[in-house]
Amino acid sequence: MRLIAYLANPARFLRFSRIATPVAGVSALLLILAGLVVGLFLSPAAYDHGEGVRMMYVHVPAAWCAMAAWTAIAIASFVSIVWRHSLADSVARGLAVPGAAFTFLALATGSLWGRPAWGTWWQWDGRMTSTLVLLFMYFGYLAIWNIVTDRRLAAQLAAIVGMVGAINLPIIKFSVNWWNTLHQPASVSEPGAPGMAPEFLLPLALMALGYTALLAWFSLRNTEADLAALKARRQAGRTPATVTLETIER
Amino acid sequence: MSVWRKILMRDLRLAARSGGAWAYGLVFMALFLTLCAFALGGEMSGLRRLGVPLIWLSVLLAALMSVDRVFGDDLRDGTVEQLWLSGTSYLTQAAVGTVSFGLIRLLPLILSAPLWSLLYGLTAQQVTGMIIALLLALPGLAAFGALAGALTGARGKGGFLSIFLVAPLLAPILIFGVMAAENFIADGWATTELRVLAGLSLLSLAVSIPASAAALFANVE
Repeated sequence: MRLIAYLANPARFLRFSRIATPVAGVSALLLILAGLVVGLFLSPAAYDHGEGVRMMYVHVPAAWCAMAAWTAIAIASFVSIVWRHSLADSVARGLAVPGAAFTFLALATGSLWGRPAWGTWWQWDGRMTSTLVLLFMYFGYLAIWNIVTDRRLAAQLAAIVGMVGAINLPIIKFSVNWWNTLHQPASVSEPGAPGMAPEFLLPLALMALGYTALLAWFSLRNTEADLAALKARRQAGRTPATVTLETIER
Repeated sequence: MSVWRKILMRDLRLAARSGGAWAYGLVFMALFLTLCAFALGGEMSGLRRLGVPLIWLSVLLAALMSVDRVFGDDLRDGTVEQLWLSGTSYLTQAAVGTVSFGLIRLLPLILSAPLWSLLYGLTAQQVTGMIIALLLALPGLAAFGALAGALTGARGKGGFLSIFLVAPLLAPILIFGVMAAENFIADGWATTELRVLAGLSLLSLAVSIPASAAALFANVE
């Protein structure tokens, strides 16, 4: 909380992000490379999934990040509605595009994994449907920023949508418990879940950290760009107009 | 309570004097269902199977087409602002708007469903299940429709924006609504999906009335 309060000042945020952005970018690169090497070459094939288990290392972290991004949007929206802080709007806006990208990635890799594992590219089961709904909600969220031209109004409306849309997150999370469907239930993220052997957990953890760092990098970059655009607009409004007078000779 | 009644009566009077604008949804529904029957080749046995989902879909689409009517005019001509100045909170306005949207725009669609079910040769039981499911979903549809209207605001070119925003949120209602309508034939009032549908409606009301109020506030400011 104190960190958030400290970073709420845009100038301080920019000082922080000047260091944090490259750190996130480099660590994303290193972690994903390490995760790919471990996941693709060093880890064994699974007993029941065969070589297909390697899809997990790109699929599961993408789905986690897709949900994490909307969670962050919802929190930033709450901050924006309650404290009217424009930096929260920039952060929420910056999270939307990477969030949508990760949602698409989760759906695409899941579809590619579903073909060998279940024999189908797509099935209308609870988790896939609710993840697809999440993707559409990212589109709607982005559409507000695009269609509403007044920035203040766009920010407020987007914040409302960001908070209302959060009701989809528990649906995604618990869909595999509520409906007994094709998608397998959680095996890592819940207490009492079956857990995973360390040789599968290591590449998954590397990739999850790497994806999270990538999400952080993307959204920090987007936030910086948004702040820069706002600053440029403010400066354009503040600079006095220059008028040149010339004598016209007849 | 008298504010509620006055705003509601005003909305009803405006609808009655609108020269039939409240019935556009019905015309849309009739056209959509007719075109669907053409597209499916007019084979009665096939139509009977698809009737319930298609009527559900037409109600949903007709509702989405009319969302910019909920608060649009009142935001444009300053009624919302005047009501707020005279002490009617945005929350009250959002709640009344939801009720009047449900009564004026959605209820006629649902009540007309038996008529369209003739076109698709549905059985009496199918129609009963469908009407009950639609009536249970009515508060949820009205709540999200009003939210879409409040978010679209005075711009009046809601079209795509409102559909992008609200259609994903309506997905659970559509899924459980069609399932409830179909399971009603076998299970009657014991159908689980009917309860889920009622729960979804209550949840939608709880979430979207405050959100609509916030959106009205943002649009007036």
